Amino acid sequence: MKQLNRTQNEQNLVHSAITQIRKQYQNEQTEEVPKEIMENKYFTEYEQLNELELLTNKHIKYCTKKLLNIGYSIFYLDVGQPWCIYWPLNALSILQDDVSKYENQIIQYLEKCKIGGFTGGPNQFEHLAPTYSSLLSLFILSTPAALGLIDRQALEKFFWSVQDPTEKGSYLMHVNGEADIRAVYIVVIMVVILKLDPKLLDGCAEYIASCQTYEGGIGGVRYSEAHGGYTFCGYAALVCMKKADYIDQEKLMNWLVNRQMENEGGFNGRTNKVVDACYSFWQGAIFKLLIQSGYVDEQLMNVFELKNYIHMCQNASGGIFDKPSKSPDAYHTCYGLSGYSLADSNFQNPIYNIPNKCIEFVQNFFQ
Amino acid sequence: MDYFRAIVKSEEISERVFDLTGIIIHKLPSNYNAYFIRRKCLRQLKLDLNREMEFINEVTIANQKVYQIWEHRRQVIEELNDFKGEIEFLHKIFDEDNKNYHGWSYRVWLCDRFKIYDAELIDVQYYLDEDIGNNSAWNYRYFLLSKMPLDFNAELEYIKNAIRLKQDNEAAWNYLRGWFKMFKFKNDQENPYKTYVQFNLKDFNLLEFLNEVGLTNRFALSLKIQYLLQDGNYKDAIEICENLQNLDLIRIKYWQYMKNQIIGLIQ
Repeated sequence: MKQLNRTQNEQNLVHSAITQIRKQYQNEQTEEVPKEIMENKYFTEYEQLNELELLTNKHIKYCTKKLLNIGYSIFYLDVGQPWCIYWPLNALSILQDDVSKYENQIIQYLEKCKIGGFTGGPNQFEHLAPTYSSLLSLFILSTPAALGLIDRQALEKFFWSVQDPTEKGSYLMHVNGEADIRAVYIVVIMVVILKLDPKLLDGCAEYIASCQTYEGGIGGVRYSEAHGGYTFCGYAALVCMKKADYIDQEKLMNWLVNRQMENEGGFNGRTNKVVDACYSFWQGAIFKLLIQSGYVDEQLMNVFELKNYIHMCQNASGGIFDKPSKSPDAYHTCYGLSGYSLADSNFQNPIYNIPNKCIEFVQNFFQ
Repeated sequence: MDYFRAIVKSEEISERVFDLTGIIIHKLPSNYNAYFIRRKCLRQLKLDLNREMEFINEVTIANQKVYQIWEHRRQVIEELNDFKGEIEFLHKIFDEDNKNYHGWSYRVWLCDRFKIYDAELIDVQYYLDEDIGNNSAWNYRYFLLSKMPLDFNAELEYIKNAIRLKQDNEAAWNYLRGWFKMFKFKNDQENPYKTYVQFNLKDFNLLEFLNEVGLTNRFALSLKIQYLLQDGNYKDAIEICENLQNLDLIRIKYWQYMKNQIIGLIQ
């Protein structure tokens, strides 16, 4: 991959060169690049940009290393160990790597984190976030042994125990913990796919809708600022329940399209904040959800610009970072690649962020 | 860590365990297990909550973006039933990051819990003066005003002046737009559970202002489309969409979509 270390000013110039080219194409309906643009020194750089590509093999190597790190020296993620499985595993599966070779190791490990819901690590309390990442990891494996680990009755009991006592349709991340839209999302999508008690969904759509802000996105709790992560969670849960029209979708879309950044091509998470590769998924997936809900019938984001941004966020030896100048990590690698894949293919499911073929397998398994 | 895991298992409640959770939280402030046990100790041993606030302040300053410490703060303040010092503390947090999401969400809760809307409206002004593009502060202003009696014409003047100060400030434009009902295409509906207040765009004449701001500002143009749609002037609305397809290339497909929606209205 070519190294592109540009200042903001240079970035703007490259962008304006690209802009000129596009305008020219549009006006003259020609494929020929005008002479004055050819001579623009930034055009050569634009050509380089076009040559960038996804470093698939490097990312596979990077994620394999991360995945094998389970349980070792991950102090920071000591209370979120299943994420260390889901992030690299999901990335590997998007990159079409054979993940079945990790099955035994993952099942053995997650067994130690299981109560009914899953815990952040062995001998901890149940928590919705590791429950989400553990279940998705088992879904990605899509084998009877992996899905056999799921105890639906005990899981349902855990979900009942984290109902928010002060707010109908809202959930807590763990008993006596914080309540926000992430919790509602996790409970909703798991209740639907695992066919648990539908009473758990009572009031969820209404609660999510009450968190839509005047900007059109959704906040973490009522009256909080519209934010990419929470908007994804809220809208994905609504689409999952086939209640997308509980919120004002025109308003949502207006907010969403404005999150894609003119100069960088990637997304930001909130109005007037900076770009971050992880929003390639959190914001990017919402475009696919709008199609799934039937609200629009085509991809309305600028796929070319997004992919270019993700190309620029690749570490030369594998892994994806938040923005150039940062170091790669499993989180940004997972969500950068998820956004990349969702942008123009139907491999990943936009509600669950695992392959569609796995969703089918899980649905059939729990008939 | 292993010792702590044994405590988690034993469910022991004592000052010894309470102290241990403090050590664990200092080491790993997102350890939700430790907070769960700590709160049990606080309640059952009836420990001093003011002293606990000192601990929370210390941990929060060192770790400003951890869900658990903010939730712990919320629960302790709820129990204390006193928000003395909280606004000053938030000021310290926003001094380092004026868009700290946890801080602003907590502030919404605090304000609602202690009903301090009037004082807060004065306080939030500081953050808008400091950074007119601070969307968290705009969002907070919206929350406050939707809870108070409102002179909307005065508010409109305030927004217009803010936009004049920085015309490409999306936060101010979104705030302006947020107060109005937008045109609904055939398959769309209002959010019936919304918490925001909305007026009819046509009751307020903003056209002169939109023209003043200019014909190349995508936010102004986008709002102008709304006026044209509500007047049934689809032809001019389509023209603006086409204009935006040239001006706002990254959203070229979105403007095409808008254009198609409007064409659908004509047919």
